[in-house]
Order: sequence, then structure tokens, then C-alpha cells
Amino acid sequence: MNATVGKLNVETPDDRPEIIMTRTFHAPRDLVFKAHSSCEHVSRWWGPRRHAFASCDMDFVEGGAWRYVLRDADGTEYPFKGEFREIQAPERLTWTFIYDVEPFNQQDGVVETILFREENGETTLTVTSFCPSF
Amino acid sequence: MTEAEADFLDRAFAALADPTRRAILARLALGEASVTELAEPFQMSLPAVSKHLKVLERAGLITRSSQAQWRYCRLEPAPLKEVADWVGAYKQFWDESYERLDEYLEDLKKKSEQKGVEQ
Repeated sequence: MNATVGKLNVETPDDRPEIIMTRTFHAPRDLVFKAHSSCEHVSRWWGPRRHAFASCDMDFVEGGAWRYVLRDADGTEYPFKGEFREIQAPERLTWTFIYDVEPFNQQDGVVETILFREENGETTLTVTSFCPSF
Repeated sequence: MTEAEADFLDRAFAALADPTRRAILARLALGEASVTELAEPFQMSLPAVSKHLKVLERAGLITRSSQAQWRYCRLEPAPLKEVADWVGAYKQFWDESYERLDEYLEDLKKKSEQKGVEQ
């Protein structure tokens, strides 16, 4: 299955529990990678519009933990957490992703790998989310 | 999302993870069918098809009626819509995040250009 939402392409392969998203940015790879690497940057773009960061903790090293709490306009909070498994600046980033609310935080998280590829000054992200529980 | 909704999605995604079960759903989207009719295109035994149907039924994606010896299967559209909505919300989350990242990258580029001029 393949679908495009805005500039985002989403693919779900038939034979494995994965979601693959691709998205191109008009910016060099170093900058796109940097935007993923600290709370200062991530809190400026991560999450839907009308959601603000209530808190952000992030130890951007391999094995380091992260936890973001988003807050919507009604004041409802959405906590997410995980750990960084692999950091190869500026081309590859693997982290685990868990919605930190019961019962979701009782299971293994989703493992996400982000590949950053640069071509002609544009950077394409390929985000592969592997869902072991499906 | 409640625990019941999460359980439902777990079962629905597990049911949808199998290509044979997706093909069965695609067939049922055209209308009710008996187990024999569903088994035909797959060259599978009736018990094998019945197993798949049980998984789909437990996930709430189909219902089975037992009229005499014929068990007719039909698609339940509401749960499938819930699955589609969940996938839609996931896409929406990332689509909006990446739109915001576009804007933020423009800011960062401008800032680094300014710095270049100052130096």
C-alpha cells in the first residue's frame, strides 16, 4: 500500500510489519540531522500544530534516553519516550519510540530508523518504523 | 485511546498483517460469500480458510451467519474505518511535524546566512 499525504509518502510493505515514510527537505543534510539532535531544535517542530512541548529530555548519545511531553490546546498531555540505539551523524539515526501511557508502555516500542540522504542540496529522509508487536 | 481501543487495534493489525486475510477482506468488500466460495481462489483447504476467518472474526472485521450448513461471511465496515483512521492520524502527525520542520529549517538557514555576513 502506498499513499501520499501532503509531501509525505507512506508505504506499508505486504510482507513485514513496517511503515516506511519518505520526505524531502530543501536543506543540507547536516542541518536536517542537527534539527533532530537536541531539545532546542526538536521542540520547534516535532508534533502536530497547536501542540507545544510541556517538557523535553534527551540524552543524544547511543544508549541515551529521550522523553517528550506534548500538550495540546486543551491542556491534555501526550508523553513519548524511548532511547537512541544508533547515532551516525549525519546519515543514520535509530531510536525506539513508545507512547508512554498504559497499556502502550507495557510493550516493546516501535524501532525507528531514519536515513538522511543528500542530493543537489536537498535531503531526503527515509523513516522505517518496525512494529514488533504486530 | 482506551485500552479496549488499543486491544482492538492490536487484533485488527495482526489480522491484517496476513496477505491471504487481506485478500479475503477484498473479496468480501464485493459482497457476502460462503466459506467454499472464499476458499476457491486460494487453493486452500476449507479448514485452513476457516482458521483465517476465525482470526478476522475475532478482530471484529467480519461476521459469520450460520444459515443451515452454509456459513456466509460479510465484511464489517466500521472497524476497518477505525484502522484507517488510526493510520490517518499517524500520517497526519508526521505530515504536520515535517511541514513545521520545513519552516524551522528555513529559519535555521537564514540564521546561518546572517552569521556568515557578520563574520
